Amino acid sequence: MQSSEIMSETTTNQEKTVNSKYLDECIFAIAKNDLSYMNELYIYTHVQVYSYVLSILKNKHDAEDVTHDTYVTVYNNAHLYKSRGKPLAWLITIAKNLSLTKLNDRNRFDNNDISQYQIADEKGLSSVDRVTLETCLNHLNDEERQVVVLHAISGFKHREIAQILDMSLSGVLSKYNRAIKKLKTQYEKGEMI
Amino acid sequence: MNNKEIEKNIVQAFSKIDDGKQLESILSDCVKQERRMIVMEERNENRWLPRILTLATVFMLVVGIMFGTRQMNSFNEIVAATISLDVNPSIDIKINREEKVIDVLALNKDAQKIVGDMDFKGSNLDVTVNALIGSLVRNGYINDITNSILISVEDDDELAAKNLETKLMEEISNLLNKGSVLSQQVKTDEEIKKISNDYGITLGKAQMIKELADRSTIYTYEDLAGLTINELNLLSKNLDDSSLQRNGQPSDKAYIGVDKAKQIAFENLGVVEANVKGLDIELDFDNRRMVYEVEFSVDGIEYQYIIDALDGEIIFIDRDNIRTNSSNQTVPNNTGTNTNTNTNNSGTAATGLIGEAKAKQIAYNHAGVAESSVSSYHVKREYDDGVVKYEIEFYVGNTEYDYDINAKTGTIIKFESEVDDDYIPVSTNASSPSNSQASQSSGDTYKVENGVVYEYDDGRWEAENDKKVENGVVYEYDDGKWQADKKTEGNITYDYDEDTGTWEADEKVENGVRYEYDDDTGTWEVDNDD
Repeated sequence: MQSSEIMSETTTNQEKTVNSKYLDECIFAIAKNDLSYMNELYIYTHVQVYSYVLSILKNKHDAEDVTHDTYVTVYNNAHLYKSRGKPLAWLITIAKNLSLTKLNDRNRFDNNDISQYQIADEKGLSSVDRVTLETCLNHLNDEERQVVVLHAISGFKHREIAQILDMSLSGVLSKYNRAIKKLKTQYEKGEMI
Repeated sequence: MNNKEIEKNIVQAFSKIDDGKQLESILSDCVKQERRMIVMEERNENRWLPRILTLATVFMLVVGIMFGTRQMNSFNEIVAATISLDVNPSIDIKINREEKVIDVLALNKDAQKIVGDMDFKGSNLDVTVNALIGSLVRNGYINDITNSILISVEDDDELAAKNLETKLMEEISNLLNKGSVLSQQVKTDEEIKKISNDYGITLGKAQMIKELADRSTIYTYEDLAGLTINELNLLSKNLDDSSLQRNGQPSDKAYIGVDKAKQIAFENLGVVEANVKGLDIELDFDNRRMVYEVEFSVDGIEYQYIIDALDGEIIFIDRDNIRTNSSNQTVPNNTGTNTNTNTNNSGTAATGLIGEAKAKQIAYNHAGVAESSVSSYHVKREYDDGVVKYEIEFYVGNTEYDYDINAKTGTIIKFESEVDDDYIPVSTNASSPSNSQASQSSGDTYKVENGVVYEYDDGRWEAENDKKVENGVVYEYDDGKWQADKKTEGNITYDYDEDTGTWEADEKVENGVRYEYDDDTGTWEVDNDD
């Protein structure tokens, strides 16, 4: 309810990474139908959830839908949540499953594959932002993109990412390094280094 | 550009394209689900609404009046009084001197559901109140579990306010024959306005929490603002000479109840009520949860139990002599094992806590230190965020160790150790006698043993597969091979630049001050970050 005070727009990502204990509390409160905690949960986690979903779906509209559905699913299942000290991993797993369902639906009903994310439509981006997004969304392959987003934005350790994506640790590490390298190359091209 | 900077770019770019504007639609879909649950309870409705008009009738009435008033040009739109109804939905009703409604404002999301499409302009106040109360019950906001409603009247004319308050109190009490109706006149001072603005609540609720907070040492406005009127009603029930009028008792059916709380405490201590003196039980609010505070004494020893009012969990047990640090107390009916050695263990035996001695052992074992090498040991028992824990602090040489240990389970909640500085220490067999150092660096805890970097996670050390240390140089695994990353010589840390293949000075520590090397100017600058 007072979340806007707790976190202003200007806080850095570091500060946004709220401790898991608090997110746990939020989910428990939501389980008891206290929706003011949904505010909190959303504010502290939406960038992580949305970015990850987008990294799978590469489509703004679908990503917004799935992000929405993720939180409603959290609400419906909060009473089943058992804290393992990893609330964000729980959210991300829900988001992943919903994204994959969406992806299947899309493949089934929609033949025109949405291949490119239209960054040109976005406003308020710096040139570095554009290169970053262009590279992440349109140059990296699916695995590289998901690994780098989970590591950079959600702050998961490589080991945790391996678990979430069901990949080997060395696989995650090499995807991550390749992604970073591709980004570096693009920044160099744009003379941004 | 290093990995950290690239990651920062990623965070920034993605944050910008996430508009974060889905909260409203999420909440409304959550509420829809909630309503589905309420439908099942509708059979109880008749008990709740003995005299209320059916919604259809009210609608017809309202529509009829609407038609009537729209043609009435001389309708007096000067607000004479504002009436706020607070349950969790908060609704303001503005009326003129003739008690005709000028406007009904839904002040929060819940209230929008209550008001819906109904247009009350020009209606009589009592018809409006009738319809709103009906909608509150129908939508499940007032029920057996939360039965409280707060009426606040704001009218500069004090006599008129008093009359209005009395009249509404009577009317709503009649409508809700099992409700708990609170009423008050709002005296708007600046402080109340500020609370109302800060927390987005009505003036009426702001006044109520101010009264409650002002008379208590433990409640804050922030705590109370998040509570429902029913919870506030329960908390303020015991206040003397409150400015609130109350009709009917607030429901505590959401909670385990006084008797159950008492029973839990007695059973935990293994006493029967006959042996207990000075029993006092109060429903309270502590650390964001509703709790029962059960106080009593047995054989001259006072006990305080804090019990979660929702699920009956014992959150905290205190004995009157806990703070006296005496170690030779005995606990009646002590069933727990007493691990009491030379440390204070009083008050723990009956509580299921592991005791300070055990906690100390856990910390020492984990840190891998012998008691004899420890200096300035310090332990504190804390109750924080619903967890009882031991906060342990000690030094070994110049390394400071900090542990938070769950006092019930003995698990390590938090661990930090610091050696002088907070960069990753690079230790070689020659330079580090213990060959094991831990350090806190950007939120992660690392240690180096036999050239392998370990990260502390989930209560244990795990090898970081992508970092290793050889001959004082930290290597990172990148692009399929080990690449030099960092090294420390003397008090200076160097970063490896892959492109030039050279070591570049990064930071140094002198006399406890951290300096960063500025590549451009070639000078050392004091790092003011910490």
